[in-house]
Amino acid sequence: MTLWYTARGAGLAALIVLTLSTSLGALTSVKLRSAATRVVAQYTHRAAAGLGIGLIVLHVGTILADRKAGVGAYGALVPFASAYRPNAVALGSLAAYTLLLVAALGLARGRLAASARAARAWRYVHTLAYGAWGLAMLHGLYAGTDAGLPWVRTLWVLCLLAVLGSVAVRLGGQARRGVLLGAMR
Amino acid sequence: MSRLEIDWTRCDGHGLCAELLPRQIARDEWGFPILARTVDDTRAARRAVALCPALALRLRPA
Amino acid sequence: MTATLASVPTGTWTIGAPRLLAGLDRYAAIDHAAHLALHGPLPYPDRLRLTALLEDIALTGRGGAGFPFAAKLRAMPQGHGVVIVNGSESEPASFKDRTLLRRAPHLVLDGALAVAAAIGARQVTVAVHDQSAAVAVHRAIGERRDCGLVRVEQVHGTFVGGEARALWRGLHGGAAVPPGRRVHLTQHDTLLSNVETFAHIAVALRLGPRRFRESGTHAEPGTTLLTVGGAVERPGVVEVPLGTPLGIVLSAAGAAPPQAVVIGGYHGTWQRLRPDLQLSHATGLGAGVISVLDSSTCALGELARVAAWLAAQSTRRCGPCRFGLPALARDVAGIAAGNDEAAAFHHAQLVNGRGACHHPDGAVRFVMSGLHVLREETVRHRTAGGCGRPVRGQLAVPV
Repeated sequence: MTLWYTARGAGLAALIVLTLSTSLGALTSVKLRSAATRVVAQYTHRAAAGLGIGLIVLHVGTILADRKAGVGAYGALVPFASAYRPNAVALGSLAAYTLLLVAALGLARGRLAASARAARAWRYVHTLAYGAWGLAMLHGLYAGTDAGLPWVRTLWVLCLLAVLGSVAVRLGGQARRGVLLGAMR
Repeated sequence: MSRLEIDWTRCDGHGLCAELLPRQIARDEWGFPILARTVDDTRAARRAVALCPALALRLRPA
Repeated sequence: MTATLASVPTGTWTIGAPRLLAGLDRYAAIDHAAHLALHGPLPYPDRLRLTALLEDIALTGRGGAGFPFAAKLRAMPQGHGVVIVNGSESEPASFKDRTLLRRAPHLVLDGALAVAAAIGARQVTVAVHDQSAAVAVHRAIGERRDCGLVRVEQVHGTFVGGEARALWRGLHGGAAVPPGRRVHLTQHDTLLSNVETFAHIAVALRLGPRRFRESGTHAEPGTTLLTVGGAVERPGVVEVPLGTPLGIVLSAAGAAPPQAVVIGGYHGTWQRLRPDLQLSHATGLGAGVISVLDSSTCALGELARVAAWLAAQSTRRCGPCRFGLPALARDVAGIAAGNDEAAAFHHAQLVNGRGACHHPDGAVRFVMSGLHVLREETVRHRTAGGCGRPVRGQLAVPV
């Protein structure tokens, strides 16, 4: 039973932490307060992403270890191959893979600054993070056995508002500067 | 030896670089960086390159 | 924004024997037959001999940067390069390039074709902004049979867009703005030079180095084209031997006693008149624009107007230029209104050298040299609240 609870807890925690990371990511180009605040925000963004990945590993690990969960290694790693709620689990697998890609390139960010084309490409790939987060949210909604609980639902809605709000602030800032949708010059 | 270079067409005056390298980068009245002198390749410089939201910094061989 | 002025000086005249402007005292424009009668047939030396000739006469570019042409030639590959003739002439007060293209296009084509043949280029592009110059080039191409490789491209003529790399980008489907990094055009197998440079090559091919060197100085042989304007009786495009003293040019142009002279256009420098100053590309002649301001105009006001125009030419991609140049322009207007120069010096220092291209540097050079030369004017404006003169527009600025 502990494995099962750990799995669900880790999943929920991962969603919260990744929501934090995504929100902070949206706000990187917004001129908040001071540069010092923004340095902290950037580091928190990265740390939260890393923690989120760690929690995902815990989440997947405990699910695979729990024979009663009915997912199995093949079902977890190959989208739509799970015996238990194949589509819902697939959302999670896809979310995780996208997140890993985005995070890996994020680590290599400094090295990609060298060429203008690479910098532009990096930005487009990194934007997939929103997609990863969205898939994770849907995964939580459809695969999560706690999705029905009121406090879980509230948490889910708060996560949704956090990211939507951050994106709105970012777009608003860009529109004011006349650079809508991050057009790279 | 590498030196820090600014791609001015990407720089948007966020100022994180000045925050991380306070003794080597100042900011003008509009927020854009002024490199006091050549900034050498150090861990702090590499951090600035990675953290710049606009990816406007790079380290170039001198 | 295009860089055409409302009024265009039409005169052309020379000091000494004309080379580029040969025949223009008789003909409005020189067609191919007249061109051959005047200059003779075009020789086509091979790459080695062409390079040797150009090194011998130390030909430098006439677009403003003054880069040795032979060096550009040496950097080109053999067989697949492209030659670009830069006729965008985006310096507002300069008319020499469109004048050459309108009235003596065959010299320009000769030079470009000879260079293209020597390096086996696959294409020659003539980039033109002025409409009648474009028409004239098309007509000239139609009169010849050797222009298979030649294309004419219309460009917008923005001030910053006339710079070599910006022009190249504009011709290749991008925005006509300089790149964010220092990329040399030779990396793109492109040899780009000014309209007038190619005309000099055409002349040098016929004269040979010894006769070419009969005009000009030892370090800078040959002639150069100037556009003389402002408070002069005979504005226009002038061909003079390099090393000619400024005073001779100004008196030949019928210049009023100058309050100040601007040499090199709007990225050039303000100077007090030194009649003995020998005109040379090594000392900032730029694209050969010489503007005279006499005592009937408010020079500080003229400086402020051009500073505002320069600020408006910013492509707004780089922060220091986008914010700094308008601030500098406001400061100069403030000086004309009686403020002191501290703010202007501060902003000039902030803007200089920061940014992807040299537009802010050129603007700073123009403004700072102006403030230096007009120091007494500045004091007069501060103490007496002005100089009581209108801004006559002797430094022309496009609307």
